[in-house]
Amino acid sequence: MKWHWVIMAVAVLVGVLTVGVLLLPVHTPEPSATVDSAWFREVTAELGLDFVQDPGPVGDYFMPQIMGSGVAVLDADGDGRLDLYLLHGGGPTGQRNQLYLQQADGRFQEASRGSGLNVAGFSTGVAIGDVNNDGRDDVLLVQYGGIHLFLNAGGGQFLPQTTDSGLSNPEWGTSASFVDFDRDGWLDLIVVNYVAFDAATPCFGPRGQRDYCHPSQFPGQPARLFRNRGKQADGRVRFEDVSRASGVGSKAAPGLGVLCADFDGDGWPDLFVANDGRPNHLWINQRDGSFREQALQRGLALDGLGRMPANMGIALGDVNGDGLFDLLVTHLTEETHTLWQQGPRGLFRDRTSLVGLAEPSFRGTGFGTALADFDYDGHLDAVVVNGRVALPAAPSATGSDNRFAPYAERNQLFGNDGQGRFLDRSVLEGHLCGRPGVHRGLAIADLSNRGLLDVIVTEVGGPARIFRCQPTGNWLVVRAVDPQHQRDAIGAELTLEAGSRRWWRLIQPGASYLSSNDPRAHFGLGETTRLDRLRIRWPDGSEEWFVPPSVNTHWTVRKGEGQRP
Amino acid sequence: MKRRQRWILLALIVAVALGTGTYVAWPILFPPPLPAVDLTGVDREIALAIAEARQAVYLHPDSAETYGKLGMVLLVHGFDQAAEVCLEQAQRRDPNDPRWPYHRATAVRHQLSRACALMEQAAERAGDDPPSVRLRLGELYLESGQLQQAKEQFQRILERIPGQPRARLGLARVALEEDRPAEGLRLLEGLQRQSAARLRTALYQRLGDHANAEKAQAMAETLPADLPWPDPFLEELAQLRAGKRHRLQQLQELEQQGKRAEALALGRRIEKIHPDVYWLVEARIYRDRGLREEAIRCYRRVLQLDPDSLDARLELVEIYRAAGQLAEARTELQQLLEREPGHGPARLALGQCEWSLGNRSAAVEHLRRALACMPLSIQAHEELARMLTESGQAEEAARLRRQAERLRTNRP
Repeated sequence: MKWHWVIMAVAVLVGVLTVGVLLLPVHTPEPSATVDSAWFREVTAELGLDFVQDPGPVGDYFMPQIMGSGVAVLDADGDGRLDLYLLHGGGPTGQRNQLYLQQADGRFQEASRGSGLNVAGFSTGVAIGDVNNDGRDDVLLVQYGGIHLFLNAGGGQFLPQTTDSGLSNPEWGTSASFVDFDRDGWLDLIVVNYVAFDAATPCFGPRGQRDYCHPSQFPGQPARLFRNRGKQADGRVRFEDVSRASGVGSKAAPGLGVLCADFDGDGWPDLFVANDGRPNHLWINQRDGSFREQALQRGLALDGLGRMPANMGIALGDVNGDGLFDLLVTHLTEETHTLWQQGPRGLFRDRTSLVGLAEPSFRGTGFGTALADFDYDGHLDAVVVNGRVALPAAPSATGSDNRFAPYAERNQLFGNDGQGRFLDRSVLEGHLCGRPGVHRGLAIADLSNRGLLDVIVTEVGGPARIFRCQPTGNWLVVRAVDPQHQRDAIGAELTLEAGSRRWWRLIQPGASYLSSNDPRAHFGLGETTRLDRLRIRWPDGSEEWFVPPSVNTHWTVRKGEGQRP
Repeated sequence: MKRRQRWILLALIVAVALGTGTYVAWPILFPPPLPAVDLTGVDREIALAIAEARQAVYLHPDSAETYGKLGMVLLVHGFDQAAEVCLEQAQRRDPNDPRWPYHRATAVRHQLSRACALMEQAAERAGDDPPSVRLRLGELYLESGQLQQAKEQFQRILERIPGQPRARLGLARVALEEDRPAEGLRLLEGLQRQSAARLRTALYQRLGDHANAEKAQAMAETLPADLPWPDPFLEELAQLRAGKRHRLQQLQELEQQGKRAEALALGRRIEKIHPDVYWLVEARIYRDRGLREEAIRCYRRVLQLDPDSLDARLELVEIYRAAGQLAEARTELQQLLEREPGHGPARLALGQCEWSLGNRSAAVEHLRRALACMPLSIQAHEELARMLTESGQAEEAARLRRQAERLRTNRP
């Protein structure tokens, strides 16, 4: 009968069609990065920044080249607007470092010539601090083979003062940070060194091509600690190399990142050094000029599985709102960026899986990083800039002639869900995370002085870029000043209170990788409109309470003007 | 049942059967095109290995083995994405072979959930043999924070192979994560591996036993780097590794072990594809026997075949310098520096040659350039200081010596 065949034909058709549908390639569209959904938009051109990093001659696979150069945010000319100092890695005959001064309209104008900061070399890191307590930001430049101190003479002019300052580091220095470790009111300096690189060793990638060497081929180098002895009779500051005496120079390792904070809660600053493929170092201040290495005892030497990942950039912040700061350290593509949570005070545990960082939407070799409240909801988010250090086994088809294209990776942004867990929102951030590059330095700042957080990113052989986020909640920016020393109170800990909510911040521009941040504390407050008080523990250990102004404002607090608890 | 209903039921069965059959057979009958692999700049031997494996797939498109081999060749040379496509085809053709999901998991190792799912398939098919599959699954669970699942895998292996070291290490890691440091330490007893020593360090630290933690850390520093765990699947993969650098490394290892005959045999085996490597082996043999002229002849042959060979040119320079043939050494160094202007050690050697040949200003210039390339080199500092002293520039020489001294004292 005819209808039998009709049923059969329909059945066959249904079967084949079902399978056809099943076999259709499943296309999961990547969420498009619309301006509406993204927190960041790029404002580099808008702000007139035209810096392109000179990596030096290509083809030599000179290892310092691939480790990149940093960026510093500072007020170079004392006009109250933040300026940018950007570094080149082109060597003695390459491009000179560039200073960009911010103008009244918020745009940057190059002012390198005559500034004294336009020096050439294999520049790596930079630290900002007022070393002579004259109220001006001075600059410490780190290079492969040396360090240089430039004193701010005002008006965007800097004078070199390395030769008779007692500062010397003829190594491959990377990150540096100012810290008043002896609490004498003068900023001391730590410079982290990487490896004793031997240029004689040609290195190769997985498919036989020339490539940059791996740091494990060379011995690591100890960090150097310099004590600021203050102004001498001739009016100049002198530093004393106390690396050996303090113990900090007693352990060699390939150091890349450094962050100074009070890790054990005794009120004295300690030094955390991120070591590449080796256990991290945590130098605990013994309050007598010496330090004891306690990374292991405090859970920061190794990751949660007892391994030694490639520790690079560092960010510090209280991600779960428990009043204790946590530590984010960036790692290789093959690893995960690690979050060590603090608790109890002075002890840390790797909570990477727990906070959702073990399986991001994609991985990268992370360098610069920051924990900041980019969506102004009162919880710290994390940004990581990426870029490989060795050729990938299989290159992606970039179609680019850029020699560094095979090393390029996309950046990552992780949003805090309010419970201390991170949600990967990199695919939503077309501007910040959409474009692959060999990113290295990262600094955060409120460049516009309008409460807008900016992320400044440097790139090997590429342009420096500025990404700006728009406030979607209330905010407060606090500058903590010590009038006695006429400078930012580096090392001060701020706790802002509103009802049952607490926000903790540290005044310490030296963080991330090779870079120096805005020294002010930026609080995202969400819908909070009324603030109760701000508690500050000053670098000398004293405490004061201040009554905050209304939200969405910049506020300068001065030591001695608050209430003693 | 009515006749009409019977027909409808039959039609449904036919539809399901057809659907299932088509679903299973379609990708095999009409496999997706082989993934394109960009071989630009890839070592000739690697490119050839990939091409041969692709050819085999074209000849035997039904074979799981050919797809699997292509996938493995791609995987071992780092073409992860393309490898995964091929290995998936291999798995479709032979769903019972644990190697295919195992290697697929390796190819997608950065996506932990997918890697875990694939490794689960591999472990299901492999059972407990080889144990490395289940152990790897346990480690992936551990990485993704699935502690209970990780523990189950390690315990299952320990039930079968009591004392299995990799399973103990895995369980000890779980114990650390679960805050049971004493148990973790017990699991690691007698395990002499660097990774175990590091873990012991973390476990003692968790116990609050800082003295033993420091001892364990010191022990970890003295232990040699861990050898890879036995894993037949990875060993099979490693066998497929090709490329000139790999061959040179193999040769170096053989030479270090004093296995000259094996080194020569390997050189002969790869003569056709890497003739320069073959001649390099010959050159080194002559050099080590003190047969200078023969060695030079072989090095020259290498440089004809591969003018970019740094190894050959630098070794040739050493021979010339040892024999006092400084002009010849200089020529070779100049050629090397034309190709690699930033090669600091070659620049330093050229400066030394020029100095010995009496070209003092050229020598100093080369040393300055060497120092610019290698500001951390103690030798470059001292050599330039020596030349400057002899040239009467004592002040700069003294500064360089001080710098060299600082570098020396800072070295661990």
